[in-house]
Amino acid sequence: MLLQTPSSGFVLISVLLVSVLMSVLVLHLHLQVIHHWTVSNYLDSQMYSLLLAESGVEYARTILPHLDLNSVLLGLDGAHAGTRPGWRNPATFAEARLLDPMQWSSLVDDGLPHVNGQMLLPQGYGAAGSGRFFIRFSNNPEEAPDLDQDSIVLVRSLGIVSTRSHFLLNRSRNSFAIVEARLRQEKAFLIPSPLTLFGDAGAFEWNGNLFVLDGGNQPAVSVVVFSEQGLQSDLLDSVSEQQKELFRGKGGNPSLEDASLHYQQNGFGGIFKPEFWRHFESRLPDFADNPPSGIVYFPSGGDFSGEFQGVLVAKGNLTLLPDASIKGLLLHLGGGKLLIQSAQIRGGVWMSDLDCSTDPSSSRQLKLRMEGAARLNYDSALIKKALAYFPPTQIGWRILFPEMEQ
Amino acid sequence: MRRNEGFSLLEMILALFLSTGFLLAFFVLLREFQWGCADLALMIERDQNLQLFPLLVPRLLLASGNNRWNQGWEGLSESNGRVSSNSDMDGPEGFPDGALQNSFESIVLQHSGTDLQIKSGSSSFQPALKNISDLSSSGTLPSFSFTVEASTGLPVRKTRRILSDAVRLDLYLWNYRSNLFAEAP
Repeated sequence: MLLQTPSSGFVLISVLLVSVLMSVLVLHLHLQVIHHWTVSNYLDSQMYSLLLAESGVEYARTILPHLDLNSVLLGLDGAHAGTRPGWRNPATFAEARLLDPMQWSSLVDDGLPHVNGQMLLPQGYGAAGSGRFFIRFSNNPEEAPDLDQDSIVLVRSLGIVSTRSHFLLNRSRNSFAIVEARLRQEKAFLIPSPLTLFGDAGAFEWNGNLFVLDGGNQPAVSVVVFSEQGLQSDLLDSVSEQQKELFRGKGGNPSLEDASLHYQQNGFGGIFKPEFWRHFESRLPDFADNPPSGIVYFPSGGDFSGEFQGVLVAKGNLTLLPDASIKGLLLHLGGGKLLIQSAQIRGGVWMSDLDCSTDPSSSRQLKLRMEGAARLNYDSALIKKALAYFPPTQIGWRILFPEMEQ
Repeated sequence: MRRNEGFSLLEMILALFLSTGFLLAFFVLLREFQWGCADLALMIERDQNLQLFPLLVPRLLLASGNNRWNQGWEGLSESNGRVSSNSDMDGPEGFPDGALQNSFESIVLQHSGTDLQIKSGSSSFQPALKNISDLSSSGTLPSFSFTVEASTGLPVRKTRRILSDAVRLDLYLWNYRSNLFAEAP
């Protein structure tokens, strides 16, 4: 016969109570860990999404100079789909919360970057982990959505990180951020002829009859008057009757045009302001490349030989030696003479010499000498290619929130 | 008379002494534990304030200076310990409108007493973080850095001193990035 003591049932109850207590404690601990993991995961992914969005803006800034902007605004189908709420965003805020970043692609191709008929980022750019960014260009609100004329564009970048959900809470909500930047591609140096002169007066020396300035369908020389007429007559006075034949291109002999109106009326008015030149010259050393490629700056002039493709900027006395070959753009900003000795330039040359230290600023005399078999051939494609080395100017940046969606 | 009857009194006295001793030890231990908890709470609150600062401030200030080139106001400025941030981010059409109308477009941070205070728009300063003992800012745009020092507010019992700690926050303000060409056309 089994003997039962008075405490026999108490042990079972105690064990059960302790088991329940331990289970509750373990569950509590588990939920605490899950809660903290979720919070830190959301925080990390939210910060990561902001970084991705900014990376998208940097990507856009890099490719913008190489894009045909009006074609990008219309998309590959060549027609703008119109405006609707959130049309400037890669995805609306509501979509972005729930879409699968690894599979999603936009149904509307307006503003998605493409080159030669190929979409650059059909499914965004995949970053580390489950992060991705998508970008979309749109015209600035001051203009029609399908036609850019002022070279100002908005880019919106969606940085998105797929957030894993807990098995108890079977719903995912992506972490994402949308950043907008307003970018302007500078066109001031998209010059209309092989030699563009900006100023009020000049001292020109044309040595011999072997040099050529060939504008093709464009004038050989364009003159942009800063404040007083005189540059054009200085140029004409310096050229002999025989040498006039060497200024080939649109118009008469010599091929020459006054492009002042073109620069004043087509959004290039900035070149008439001293701030433009002060800013450009002060920042140029930071943007110039060393070793030379892309943008090269010679602040004190010097002798240049060899081949170069891109933008060559110089001040002071610059001599292009006979074996020098430049494809792109040569900007001579004064402070000395530009001497071209039998060198070859395909693209264009810009000359100006503004004294921005005085108020109002004034233009100093431009000094140019060409000798030997120097050739200046206009090539707008090479000029555009060279200008692509100039990064777009960022004139705005903001983080977008749902209430700001337009 | 049984031989062990006198033990009851001795046992009782001994038990009283022992239980008193145990109780005292228990309460001393409890007091230490409570003080430890109180100190821990102070330290946690201080550290939470320090951790919250880098999460709170960048959201308010990252877009400083947006559209300033088109207007006459400064984007980010610092004077008399106050950091003012102006950013034309929004307007009736959803784009910068040349005016600082929305409250989030104009933010001022200051350290007053033991509070970090924030003012948005035309409202008054409101406390945002407690037990802030110092706030300093410096930098050359586009970089701007804050150093915030938080304290426990009350002396920690273990050391009998107010304990402080500081964090430094470096911000890169994208509206001040270096451009080759001037922002104004």
